[in-house]
Amino acid sequence: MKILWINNDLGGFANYVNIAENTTVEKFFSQQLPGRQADDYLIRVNRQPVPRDYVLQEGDRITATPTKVEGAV
Amino acid sequence: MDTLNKPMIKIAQAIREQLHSLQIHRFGEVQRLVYVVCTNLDQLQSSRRNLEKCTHRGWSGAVARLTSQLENKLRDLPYSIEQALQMMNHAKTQLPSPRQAVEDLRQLQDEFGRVECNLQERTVSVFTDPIELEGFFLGDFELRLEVDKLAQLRDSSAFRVIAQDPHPASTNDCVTHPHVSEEYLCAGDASVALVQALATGRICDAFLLVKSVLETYNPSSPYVSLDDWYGFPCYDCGYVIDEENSFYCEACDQSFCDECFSYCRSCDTSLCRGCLSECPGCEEPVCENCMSACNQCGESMCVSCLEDGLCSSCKEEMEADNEKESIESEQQVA
Repeated sequence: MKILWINNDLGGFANYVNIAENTTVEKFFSQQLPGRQADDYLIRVNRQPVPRDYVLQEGDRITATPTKVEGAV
Repeated sequence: MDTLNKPMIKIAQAIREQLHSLQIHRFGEVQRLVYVVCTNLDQLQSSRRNLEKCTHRGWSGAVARLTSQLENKLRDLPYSIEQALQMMNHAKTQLPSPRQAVEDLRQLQDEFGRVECNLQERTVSVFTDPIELEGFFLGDFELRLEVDKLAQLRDSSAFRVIAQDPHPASTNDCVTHPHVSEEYLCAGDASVALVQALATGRICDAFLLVKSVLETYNPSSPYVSLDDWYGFPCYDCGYVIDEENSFYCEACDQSFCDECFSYCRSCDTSLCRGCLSECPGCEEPVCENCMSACNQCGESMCVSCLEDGLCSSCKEEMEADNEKESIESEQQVA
């Protein structure tokens, strides 16, 4: 099934991705951002905070925004 | 209509209008970049025809020159095509629907608790909690998006970061945060994602990214480093020092770094180098109180370099004169 994935880390582009049924937010995050800690991100599904075991549905909009980003001169 | 949401709806509409203007501007850029590609192709075609003629006529010098030109143009072509394609990609960005734009502002309210939409100034503001980085308290900030700047979107300058309880760097009160100067954020690693979020109308994501930058310290590239936050400049060289590593000059009532500070070699008083003078006799730093003028030539020297009120040169000269007088008077007597 298809969901909209918006990764605000670095590029910040939105893409439709196909995922398997019964994919949780936690699993999806680890697939899309391997090696990253979910606690370092603000994760929202359909603009709402969800628990890590939330099962993604067809058409869901999921965003991940890093909470630690380095500014610079 | 729900009157509480009316400003939000109007601002959402303004955001969409500005993003539409941005899209038109970007399509204009696409046309310009495609024109550049076409011009390059025309030039390639012309060079190719000339090369054909020169090859046919056996003009080897011209052939070499034209080959070099062709090579340069061929190398440039992929870059100009890539530029055009990138801009095309940006321009094709789908605008948020009116409903999506309002929902985004509602999410902003959920994330920050308080959103102010100023219809007159056409701004959207949220407020952070007080920010503390590595033990340095910086206070809370208003993050203000100037909607009218979205049409010319290039970087994070559509945002202003306004300190509500300023604790600026002591060396520059325009720097209220290591990555904020004159109320503008340097977004660093968040720059690309921030512009993309704004361009696609994901206003809440953009605000969240600004907040993330404010809550993260990058010691390798601040406007003022936290190590120097409460420092002050050496009065002489401007090097930033802290209280512990500063030296106070009683003569001029200013503070200095250790490089700009010394002591009088005559009386051991600690003073800045500006309040010490180099004695021309011994070339040591000496304070004003330990300098005196030679009675003969008037040159200032440290008291150690004066003998009977005379500098060594005048003393020698006087002794030579005395000796000469003595010899002459002995001769007269004889």
